[in-house]
Amino acid sequence: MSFPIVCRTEKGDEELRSRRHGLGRDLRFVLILVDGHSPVDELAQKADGWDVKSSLRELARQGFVTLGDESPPEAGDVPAIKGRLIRIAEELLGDNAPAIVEKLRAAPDTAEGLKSAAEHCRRMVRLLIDESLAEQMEARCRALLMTL
Amino acid sequence: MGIDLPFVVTLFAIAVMAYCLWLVVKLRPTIPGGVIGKRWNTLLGLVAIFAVGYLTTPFMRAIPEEALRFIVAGIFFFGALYVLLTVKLLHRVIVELTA
Repeated sequence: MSFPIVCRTEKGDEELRSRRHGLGRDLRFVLILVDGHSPVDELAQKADGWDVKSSLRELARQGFVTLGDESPPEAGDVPAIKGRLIRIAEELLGDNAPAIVEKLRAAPDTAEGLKSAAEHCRRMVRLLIDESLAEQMEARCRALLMTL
Repeated sequence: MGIDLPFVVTLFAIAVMAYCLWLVVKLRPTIPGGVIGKRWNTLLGLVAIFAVGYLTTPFMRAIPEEALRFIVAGIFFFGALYVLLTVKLLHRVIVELTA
């Protein structure tokens, strides 16, 4: 797996709350382990004896988790976090990314400014581009924004 | 066909509806999907129906009464549908923006 950080999507959170999607016991166990900031190797250590990597691939395929970035930027490094958010938007939104990227670029280099811009972008994606992409974007950005 | 006040008002109505049709088609590429994008095609279809319906109004005197009643009823129905969809869409947008 090329992206070691994994985040739960809204569907993943919902499954933990309600078991609505009927996830199997093994996958559910791995889903519980996903905390949005632990790398895959750390998750594998926590679940000694379980094939965490395969389970995460399956969970990602079914939309319960999303693959995050290679390594988290330093806490409080607003420009680096902004850069990561822009990369996430470009990866997820493709041709529809420019308007969102522009908003993120224009965000002030402060923690509050970036959080506010990210939230604004999430709403724009939800209203104008795609609701499920908005959820994926939120899940992938959540861990980054928590470091602010 | 005499040119009286109702006729002039009808022409204005047709012009405004043609502008609406042009606007919804022009804006379509800027809304690829999402909450608004999903509803946009429906709104576009309804505006197209209105545009066709409005275009018949200058010829209403030539249309049989039964067909005329049917056209007017259709315009009323789709008008109500349009308003319902627009209000629901606005509600969703408000919910999204204030959540």
